Amino acid sequence: MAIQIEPNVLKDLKAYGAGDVSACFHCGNCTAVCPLSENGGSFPRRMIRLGQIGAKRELLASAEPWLCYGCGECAQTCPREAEPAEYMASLRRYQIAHLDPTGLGRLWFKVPAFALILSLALLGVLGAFLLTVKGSRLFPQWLFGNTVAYETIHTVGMVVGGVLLALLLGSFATLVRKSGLVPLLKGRNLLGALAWLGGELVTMKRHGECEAQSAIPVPRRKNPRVVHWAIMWGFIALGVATALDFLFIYFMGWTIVWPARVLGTVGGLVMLLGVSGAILRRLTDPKAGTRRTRFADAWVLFFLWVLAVTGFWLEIVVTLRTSGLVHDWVLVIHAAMAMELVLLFGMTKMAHVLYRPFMLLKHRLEQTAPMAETAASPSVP
Amino acid sequence: MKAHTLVIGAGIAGLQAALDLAEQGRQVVLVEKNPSIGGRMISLSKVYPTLDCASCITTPRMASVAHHPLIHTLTYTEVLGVAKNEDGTFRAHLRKKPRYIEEDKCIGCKRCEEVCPVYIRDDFEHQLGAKKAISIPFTNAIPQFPVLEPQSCTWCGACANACPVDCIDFTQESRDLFVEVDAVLLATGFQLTPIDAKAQYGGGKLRNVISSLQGERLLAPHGPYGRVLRPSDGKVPDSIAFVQCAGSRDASLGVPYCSRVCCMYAIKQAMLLSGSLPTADITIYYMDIRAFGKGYEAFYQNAKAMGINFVKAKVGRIREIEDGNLALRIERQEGTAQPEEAQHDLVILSLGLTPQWNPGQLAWEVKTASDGFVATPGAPLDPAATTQDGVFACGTATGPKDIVDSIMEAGNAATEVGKRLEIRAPMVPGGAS
Repeated sequence: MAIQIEPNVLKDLKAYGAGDVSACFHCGNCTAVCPLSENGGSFPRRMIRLGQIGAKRELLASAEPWLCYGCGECAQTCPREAEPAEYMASLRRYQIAHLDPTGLGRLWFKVPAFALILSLALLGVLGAFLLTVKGSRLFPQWLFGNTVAYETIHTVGMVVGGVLLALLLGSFATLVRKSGLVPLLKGRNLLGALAWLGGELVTMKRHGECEAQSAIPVPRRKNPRVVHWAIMWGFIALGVATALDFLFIYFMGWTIVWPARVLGTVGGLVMLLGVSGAILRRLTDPKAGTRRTRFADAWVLFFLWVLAVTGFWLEIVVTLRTSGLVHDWVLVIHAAMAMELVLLFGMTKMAHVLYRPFMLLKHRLEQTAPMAETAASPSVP
Repeated sequence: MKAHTLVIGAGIAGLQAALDLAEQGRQVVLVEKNPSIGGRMISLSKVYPTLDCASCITTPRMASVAHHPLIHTLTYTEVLGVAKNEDGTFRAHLRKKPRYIEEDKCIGCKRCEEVCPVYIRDDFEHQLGAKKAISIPFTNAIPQFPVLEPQSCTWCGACANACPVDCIDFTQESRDLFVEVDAVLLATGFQLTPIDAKAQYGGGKLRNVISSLQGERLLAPHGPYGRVLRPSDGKVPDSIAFVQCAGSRDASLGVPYCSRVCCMYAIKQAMLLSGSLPTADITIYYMDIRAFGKGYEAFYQNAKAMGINFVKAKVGRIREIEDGNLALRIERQEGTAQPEEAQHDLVILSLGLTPQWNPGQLAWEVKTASDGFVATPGAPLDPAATTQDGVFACGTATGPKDIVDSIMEAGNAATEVGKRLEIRAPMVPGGAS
């Protein structure tokens, strides 16, 4: 297959956070120093080569950016200071942005000012929307009317959610198509690969290997594997708790709330600790300079942290059965931020929740030989 | 003391320049901070591409300098300051460090060294061997005076009792000297980049990862063990690796430039190793082989023909495995491009060259370039001139270079100094013009 060349790929990737990638003279240090590079490929050097020649399609379809967890050892030791780790991070942003059908994702990652304004504006709109709920005490009646029924808001939310889900599924379908996963399925052990992926998601073993050989050890409280594990599983627990809550109260009409409440509390606490560790690491990174924090990274951590803190605030309020204007404001902030996080899911760093497992699966399938072929392959002298 | 020229540094460049100036009839004061003249070259095994014995070709130069009537050699002496006088001459402030022996009495009989009970690490052997706390720096050192290391000495007095000429002086102190000269020539040389600079290469803690200058000593006929053994257990290594660009061409280590000599000295050491250990496997991991000089490419091709294994790959990590052996993680640039681990008994890091001395610490106008070496803004037409009129530089003081180039630069610098002297202190009545 001929490679289609896009001369501006590297220039474009710089806007996504890549460093001076054209400085790379392909000594192979990054691949040799990487704790995750494995037999069968030059990782991450192949990606740099593809970037240098401008192979945009290959870059967008490749699973390799998602095999990297950004320990930064390659960037630390790169003789040309081409920052391979930052380049891999920029490729992940690049892939997310290029599959976002609205096109806003590209601006989100490339123009931090745009991202900030969009985020604030959306918060404003969502907040105002919430203030229109009937019975809200937070704003003068004459401004918003304060009369929209809770049910209306609920319906609007469902509709918007449906549209979002459709968009997300659409871009995921594009991802499946463009990444070339479908031909890989033929004759390969999909179940085995899925089992491997499940194990990987539960243990995050690769993420641990990433740090294990690092020349500069990171303390546990900000160890990237530990904090990422905490954020992810805390987030999932919160999601499950919300779903259970919804199921129990709205659909079944039960009044038993404690399973969801306990799960949510534990999950929220785990996530809060994880996010705090991640923020701490980014603020006091011993490898500063090899791992940079861009607005898009900070945005996710900030939102998750505020959501967790306000969530606990509200839980305390509910448990103590107190009320007050301050608590109402906290509720509006919490709800607006949660809605924004969901609304922007597909075009922000949050989208990695879909991309990384998918690309890990694709990589696993690529690594395993087709079953029929191995069985029938004749021994070639 | 008055002289025509002060030459700072008595390595091969300083020796050559001092000789060339003295042969022009100029009085030279040659200052060396170490106890012996000879510099780095006297510690090398052999030189490329001719494989001449380094000692055998350096000692005659050292002897010529030491015995030349117009060269006044000051060893174990440091330069504290050089100031320019109003008449264009320079006044140098030197400090002669105490050897704790009376040099005019000592006959170099080594009796003190024989009786001294204290062994210390030998700097000349780059910590691979031991020497006595009072000892002559190395076999063919010039001058043949012992040096007492006061921080290791137990003041037992054995040496003083054994000395047949009663020259041991425990109370000796440093002595300041002042020299007035018409020109100054810097030949201050290089040092290796630190072996512990890279955590991925063990941070200097792996016992069988040695520097290239340690490799030279292992191969030198009068080296620390007299044969090639590895430091951790004295085993004869069976598989030896050279890691090129271990200290240069690496912006992350602050040395982005090429040190020029490492490719060739690694090839030379590999050849010598295959001579002394004919059954050993020798591998050179390199980014590019830079065989730039006359006869160098043929030298490289010879090494390949001898069976030395050249692998185009930059070593990413070195870790110690069982028995002190080492595993090197690489990605080959030719053939298969994928990470792999290779095992070796002994690893020699081809460390880079950085300046030995920064002349900027003195209150004068000699500037250094961004790489830290003495700036020579007149290059390429006037490579010996520094940023200060009357001060010249040659050899590795101005940048990494090999022995051949250092000697050529020394000759050029001597000529440039001679031109200045001919104007200021003409040998021929009426001057040069």
